Amino acid sequence: MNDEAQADDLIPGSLKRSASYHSRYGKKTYKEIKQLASGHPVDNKARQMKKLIEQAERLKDKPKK
Amino acid sequence: MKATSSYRRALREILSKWKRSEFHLALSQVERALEHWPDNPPLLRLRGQLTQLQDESGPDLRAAKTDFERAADLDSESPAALTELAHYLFAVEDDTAAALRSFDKSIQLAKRLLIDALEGKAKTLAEKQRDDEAFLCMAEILWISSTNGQSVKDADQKQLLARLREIALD
Repeated sequence: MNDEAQADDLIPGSLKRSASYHSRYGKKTYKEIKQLASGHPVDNKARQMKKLIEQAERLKDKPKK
Repeated sequence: MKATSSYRRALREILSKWKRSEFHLALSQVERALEHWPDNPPLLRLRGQLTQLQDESGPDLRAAKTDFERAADLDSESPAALTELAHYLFAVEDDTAAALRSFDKSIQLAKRLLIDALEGKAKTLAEKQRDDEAFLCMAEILWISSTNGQSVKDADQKQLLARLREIALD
């Protein structure tokens, strides 16, 4: 996955309807979100966004496995 | 009911569109397939997965969860739908407690299936006098049955060893 890609480009529209999606983080890169999600204290919204990004990636890659 | 070959063809088309990131088309294909094979657990699971890959105009996200729950209910022997449900609960609903429960159920089912297959394989190998390979299968059963690599409890271990002896002596 591209660390420099923005969250909004990695999260499909349907998953943006999840309560875990936070539009304020949409322009942040995956790398920035990972950093915020593992920070001290943990940025909870970033943590949720990271999971959405990774869920999308897991599902996109499913048929290739 | 349409023939098996039609079902396989439908699945191939769905996966082919999915691989090309044509998620909307893949979902439409799944919907058409469900018209012919309603309540089919693998198709329900595919629909649940593809629902999460749609754009803003796609179906309600909660429909994915319903699909996984229905698939798990219809095919209670399969861990696949429970695993997808667990991922959904973890990532989309941020419900770690529910996700853990679902992952645990899925793992138990998967272990049961795996042990069943290994037992069968061990018996088959033993009949062919391929004893070393049969023994390795039994060792794998013992490992899977342990908890996080630790020894099983005494009572469980006795039961397990008794079962392994049965297989070996059959």
